[in-house]
Amino acid sequence: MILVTVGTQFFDELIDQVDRLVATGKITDHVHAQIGLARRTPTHLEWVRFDRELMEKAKQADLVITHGGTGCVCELILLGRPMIAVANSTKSGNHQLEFLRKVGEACDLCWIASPRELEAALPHARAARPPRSSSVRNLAQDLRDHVSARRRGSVATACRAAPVCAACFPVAPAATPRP
Amino acid sequence: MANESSNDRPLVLVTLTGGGHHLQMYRLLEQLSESDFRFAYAYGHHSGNHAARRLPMPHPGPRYAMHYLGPTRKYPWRWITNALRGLWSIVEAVRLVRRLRPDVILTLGTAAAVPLLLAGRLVGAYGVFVESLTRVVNLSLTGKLLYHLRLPRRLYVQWAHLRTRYPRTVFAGMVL
Repeated sequence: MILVTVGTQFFDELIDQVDRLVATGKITDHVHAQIGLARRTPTHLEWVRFDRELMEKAKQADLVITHGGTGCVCELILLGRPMIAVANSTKSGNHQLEFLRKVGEACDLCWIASPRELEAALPHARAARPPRSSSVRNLAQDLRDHVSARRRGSVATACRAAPVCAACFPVAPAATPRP
Repeated sequence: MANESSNDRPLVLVTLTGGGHHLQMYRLLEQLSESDFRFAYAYGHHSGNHAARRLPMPHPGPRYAMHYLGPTRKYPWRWITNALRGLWSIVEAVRLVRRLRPDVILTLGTAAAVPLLLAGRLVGAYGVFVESLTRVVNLSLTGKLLYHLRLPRRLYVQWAHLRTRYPRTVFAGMVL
């Protein structure tokens, strides 16, 4: 089963392309599409607009085709399923493309810049298995270091003293004390 | 006893938004322990839609509604309503923050960070903004605004090379 998802957005070009590939017999698997706010509905696929159990379906899918949104891409990377991420170039500043390029470097992700490349990418994608990263621990540790001493009254001191805090933002003028 | 210890822990006010921000915030909060912090959440609602209130989060905490700022980007030509929306969001944020008096305001990606961190300054809360993972080459409009206004004490970016353009930001890892 191939799962297509566009998250909370719309991405008609991707849905159309998958629809075309199914219609022309380039994709023979069963295709389930989550089309979000799409303005056109596909004719050769089984589709839903939104699905609460989407990630459950993704776990069972042989391949997931997703748009380049952070939510879908990250969640699917964490699931570790074979996937293709497709950049939606109509989004503001084409930021999905830059995002996918960087995540691709970091996580060995199969991604394409446009739905037109989908057919060529299909055979490659089934082999790709993105590894799980644990970088969030470092981020949370840094946050915890700076935030846990943040009881009101002790605001400025801990932060100023810490040598790691060279990049810290300047401290605000004295705040109103808690009653 | 329980009450006493609960007052020792800093109160963290967290923005609760849908889609990719939700996943990123979820991953981050998973790493913070309830034995260290108390949590409260501010979520956006739009035309009576309170769906964001039910988003799962790793820690329990009261959830408070604010007006969703998304339409501002969706309809940029409606600048009068947008300006009013922005002003009203500041009023809402000030009300919420004065009532809760959080020690830390933790925001990720969302435009609601601007009014909340502004209001946070009034009560001396420690403001944190985490730029979304999608922002690879540039900060978001919200990020730029916060950066230049110096509203958050700590502005995290999730890609190291963003620091060359925005040196006052912090890179410590990404939520993946």
